[in-house]
Amino acid sequence: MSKKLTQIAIYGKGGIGKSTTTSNISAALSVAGYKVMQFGCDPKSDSTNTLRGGTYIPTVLDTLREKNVVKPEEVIFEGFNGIYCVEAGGPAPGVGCAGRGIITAVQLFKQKKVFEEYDLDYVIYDVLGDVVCGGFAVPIREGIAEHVFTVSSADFMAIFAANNLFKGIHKYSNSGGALLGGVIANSINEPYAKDIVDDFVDVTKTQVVEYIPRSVTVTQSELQGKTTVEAAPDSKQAQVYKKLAEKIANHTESKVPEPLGIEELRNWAAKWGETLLALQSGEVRSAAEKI
Amino acid sequence: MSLRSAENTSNKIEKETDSKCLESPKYTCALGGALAVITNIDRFVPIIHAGAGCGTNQMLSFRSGGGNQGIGYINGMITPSSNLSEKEVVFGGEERLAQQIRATIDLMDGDAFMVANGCIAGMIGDDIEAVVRGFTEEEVPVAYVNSSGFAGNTYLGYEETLKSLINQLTKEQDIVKGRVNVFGFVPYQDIFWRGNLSKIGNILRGIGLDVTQVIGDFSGLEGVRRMSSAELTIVVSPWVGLGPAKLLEEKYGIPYLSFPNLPVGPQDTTEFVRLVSKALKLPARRINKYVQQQERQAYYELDIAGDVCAQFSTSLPIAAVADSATAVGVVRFLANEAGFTPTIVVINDDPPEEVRETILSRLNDLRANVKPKVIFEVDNYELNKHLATAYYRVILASSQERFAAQEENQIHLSISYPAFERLVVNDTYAGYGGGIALLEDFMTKFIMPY
Repeated sequence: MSKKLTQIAIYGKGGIGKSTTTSNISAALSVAGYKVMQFGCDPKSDSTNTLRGGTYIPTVLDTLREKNVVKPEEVIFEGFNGIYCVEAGGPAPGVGCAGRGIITAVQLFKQKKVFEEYDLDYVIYDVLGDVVCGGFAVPIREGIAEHVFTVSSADFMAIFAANNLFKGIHKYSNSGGALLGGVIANSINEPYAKDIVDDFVDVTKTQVVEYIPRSVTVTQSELQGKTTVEAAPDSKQAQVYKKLAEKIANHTESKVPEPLGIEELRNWAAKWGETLLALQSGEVRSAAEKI
Repeated sequence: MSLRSAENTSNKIEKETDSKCLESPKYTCALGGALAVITNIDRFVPIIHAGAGCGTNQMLSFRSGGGNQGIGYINGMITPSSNLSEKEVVFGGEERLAQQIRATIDLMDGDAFMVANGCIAGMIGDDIEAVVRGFTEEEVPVAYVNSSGFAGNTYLGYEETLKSLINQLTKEQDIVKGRVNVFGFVPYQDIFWRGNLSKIGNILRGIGLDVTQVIGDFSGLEGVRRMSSAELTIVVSPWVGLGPAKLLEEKYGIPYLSFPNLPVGPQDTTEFVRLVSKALKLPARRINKYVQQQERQAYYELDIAGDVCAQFSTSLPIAAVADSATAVGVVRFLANEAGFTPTIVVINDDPPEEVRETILSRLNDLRANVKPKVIFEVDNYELNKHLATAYYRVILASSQERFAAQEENQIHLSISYPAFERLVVNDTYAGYGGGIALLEDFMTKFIMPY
């Protein structure tokens, strides 16, 4: 009998470091001895680049476009430490329907029972930005992923995207959809950044899984076409990713988040806007003001 | 589902429910309207850019519900279609469309080709205009209409197609005195469209006009191009066809007039003739002579039918269920000229809010203070609830109302879409003799119901 497969989806606003984080989690899980597949769900098709020396791989949809039948081995490529890399792919910008593309690619793998045949421990979906349409919600629907994590910085736009994702999870939570594992707080260097993310998870009744500081090691590794876990395994940053991977491996219970309404979110952001302004002008507003 | 009442005129008006789910709606989608127009322009070849099945669906609806009318030149099962599948949904269907247009031009003999898209192409945002632009060097013109099904119903498709034809295939030219365009008859959706257009055309030709009807005659591409040379556009409907009429006014300064119902019988037909004559400043003597001749013949025939009408009932209660132009036209004739009593009128083409007062005003000034209950309703379930509480002996409606009528031993005649149990080619109730034709059709059933 095959072992228990855990499927995880990682969402987040574009450019927030989602693919970097996902690839490092995959690398860390793999180093820890798990069999991992990373499934990029972004028409840009660059999710798995740093697992494969910075190279692009043929995508499921590109292959499907050329011929009607696609064999799994034609679109699954081994990367760092034997991680299976897959890119869903999608149409050229401005044509067709990328959302439907994600559905097609994920369903193809499901139909062909690829995950079972490859005897995997983890499938990690790296999903493009916001949940803009039904297609991008596929990994959290139809019993595909069990846990969803969202990568967010303290940037308001990233938090808005996370809140949208929470709405998607909330919507599908009653029909067997994936639940939220928590927020992976990325690029957290300033103290206020941590406060903002902490406050957001607090009001939406979720949790921060790990705080990841911005680090030049990540940039250096990516310039070599590698994850930090591969390029600088002993670095402090690699340890952060390994700790994150361990937490995800040990994570069992996800929850339904409570997303903020549009008005609530605006008010919440406005409140933080004022605080940041006060901070810049030297006013003390944190716990220190009581001193 | 409660009914909202509005007592803003002397008729009792009940507006339709805000039900979100329709039972047996009385029309198809915009693609249907587009195909209804394209397939009835002589030697025009339609190209459907939609999922496989969209075209078949329209054909089945129109063929059966539209008075069992057969196919034209390129129509029905032989209509070319890009048959979009998942591959096109993901990557876009533009290449597939280009391929389909190429193949159609190569294989089919036509004077013009016209692409009509369905929902899929609309949803994924295919740039159909750009694809069609790639065929500008062809010997025959290739046009397109955006007819995504979700955009609206058959009426929208009809208007959008005419507008596309005007925008893409007509150009500024000298106005020809006495030339008129006639809009308002949607093929199949108006089961009598062919006869109606032909009858209205004959009346207009009778008063010396040169008529462009584009559909249902042999004018083809030439007819389409002629639209921009008209002196006037005549819309025989309170609303259907106003879109293209306004476009012709905007683009070429061609004025338009709207006659708010089908002119059935001498009274309304004369009103129609006089309205058109006034707009075109036609010589009064010629018009008076025409009207006198036509009215004499029509009233002579009405007299002949009058005996039997009076013998059975001088105030026969009648229900009508149809689109606004047909329902109002038929009811006005029956009340004003045949002496019957329309008791309920259900208007089922969902006319825009702003024309509803006009429609009501035409039912408000009936003879002998006859005031039928007027209902705007597109849902068949709600519509039948209204009919169940109304009193009538004859119902002029669609096939959907036939069964309720049979149960009550009432006389039923299909005059609106869908009409499954009737073959319609040239039948029409329009014009001076149109009322007689209507009387013949339903009184025959009334005199000898078994």
